[in-house]
Amino acid sequence: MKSKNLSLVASAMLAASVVMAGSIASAEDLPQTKAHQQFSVRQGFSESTLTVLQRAAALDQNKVGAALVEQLQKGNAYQASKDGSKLRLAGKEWSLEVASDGAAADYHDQAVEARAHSLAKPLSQEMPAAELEQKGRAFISSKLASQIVLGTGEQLIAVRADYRTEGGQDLATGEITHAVSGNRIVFGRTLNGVPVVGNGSKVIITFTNDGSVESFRYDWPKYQAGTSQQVVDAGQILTRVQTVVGAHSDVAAATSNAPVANSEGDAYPVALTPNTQLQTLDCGYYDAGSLAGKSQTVQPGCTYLAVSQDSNGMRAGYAGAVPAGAQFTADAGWSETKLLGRK
Amino acid sequence: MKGTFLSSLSGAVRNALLLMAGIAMLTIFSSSASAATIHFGVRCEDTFQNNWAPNIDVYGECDNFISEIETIQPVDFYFNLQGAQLDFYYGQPGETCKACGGVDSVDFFYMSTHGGVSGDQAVYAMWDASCPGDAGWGGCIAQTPSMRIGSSGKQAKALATFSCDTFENSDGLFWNRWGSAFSGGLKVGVGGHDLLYTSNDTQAGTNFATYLVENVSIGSSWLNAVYYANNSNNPTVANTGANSTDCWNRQGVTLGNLMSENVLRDGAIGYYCWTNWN
Repeated sequence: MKSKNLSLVASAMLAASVVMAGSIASAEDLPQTKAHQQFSVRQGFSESTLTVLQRAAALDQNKVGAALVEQLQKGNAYQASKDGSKLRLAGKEWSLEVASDGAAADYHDQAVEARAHSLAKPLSQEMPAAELEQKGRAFISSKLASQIVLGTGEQLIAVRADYRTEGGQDLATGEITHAVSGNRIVFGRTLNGVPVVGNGSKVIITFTNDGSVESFRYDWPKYQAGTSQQVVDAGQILTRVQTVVGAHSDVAAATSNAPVANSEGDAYPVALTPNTQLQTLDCGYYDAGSLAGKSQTVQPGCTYLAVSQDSNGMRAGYAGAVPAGAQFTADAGWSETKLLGRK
Repeated sequence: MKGTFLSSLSGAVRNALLLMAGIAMLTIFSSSASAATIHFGVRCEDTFQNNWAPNIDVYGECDNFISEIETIQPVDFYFNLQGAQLDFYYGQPGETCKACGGVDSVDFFYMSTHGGVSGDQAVYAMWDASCPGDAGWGGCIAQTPSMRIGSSGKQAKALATFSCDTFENSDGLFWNRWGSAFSGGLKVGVGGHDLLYTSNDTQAGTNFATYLVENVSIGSSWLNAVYYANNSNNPTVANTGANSTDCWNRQGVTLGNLMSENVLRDGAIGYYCWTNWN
């Protein structure tokens, strides 16, 4: 075990220098997303009433698949198969899956991904979010224009930028390296200024450092308007989040309701239970996405991220969405609507 | 002209052809991702004795992982984590015991529970409120310095853990925590370098298994499946190599070559490497 002991010493000696190694690629929500999260936790919604949406009738997944292959210029040498309800098309070094409703797809180019490590750059040279957004919009315009269609009052918005980072350590010398090898932009949609939250209405594109598209994944249905729902205020939304997080974690909620933050400073974190804090709340139309395999209505709702931490530092992350309608519809695919038990 | 050809056919004929092609492709994918039989074992826990740790929703994720993966490979067991600590520890009878759910009793071990790091240890929460060697945590844990995965019994090759923080690598202490576990010959490990969010949305388990079945590398399968389930997740893949080049090559290991890839133990390991999203 000699070599292991030596490497342990070497890595311990270098630990401090690693922490000081430089800037870490900063994956996070973009400023406009953060601003919306601040608004959500303080005010919930701008509107008092919102329309309930329905994902429109399914598209022909075979036609969608064929169109994407043509737009991506992948040639004709590919095979088609079914994986459950999904259509899978696969070429020599790429694959494309199309959801049963034709509104969502997942594409990977293994040849591009295989080059990503060789193109890795120092962390400080991550692709800026603005450049990622520009490249993403250009790709959507040129390759996904038939699928990412905006209706009246709809906008495509950049939501977050994420980075794939990598590192390694030579156990003989102790030298540690860090690099960024992938750059990812996430787009979402607004309807008359109200964002769609959840995994529906998302376009996620991954670029290697040379600008090649390594993968994309989208869930972009056409929505049809239905009835309207009156939405509750931020205080009631926070109470609902408290209730569901308490139920999921089986930890008693605080005896008092989570306070609605004032307009000064950062509203997060918000204490939900003695050991659990709300990290973010995003209110809008909640669409879980068709790739989740759950058909449901798209009602006003708020996604949440919460974290619990015990006295020893062990953490647990909780994610989900609470309905925001004063009278919401129970949905078999949306557990929080059942848990909150109102109609 | 296959793509054009398909799109020009009537729906019924096209669907029939697609189905036939599908059967053929399923055969191809099955064979490519399962050149050798890979035995899977799964252990998940969503409640903890006397509430020593908060509940988490993980059974749906584990169920879905199993449902998908067992279409091509055997899942030898699916257990909770009651009395499980020693099933992870090197030299203990449970480590190689399949009936016990031992980590080295299968080729590919999948687990979902709470995780944490402290100094030179990464830990996984067991169900029990207490056990010997809890190292000051609030309940029973299994700690990585007591593990040596891949050297005994079935010699596990892959470890996948949907747990927070255990693959933390920004502080330079990764090898202090995982050196012992990887030195047994473990070829690839996947987990979280920060928070992984649990919810009733079970896409992570489903998609991870789906990508694996499609013979996407184990690392990419994990990174993308967990990220796509929730963009705020922080997934990681880590592995060893004789040197840097070897390490990055080995990070591409798939189910198709997991069993045939050579084993590196102890002094044969010259480098370790990791990749994170977020």
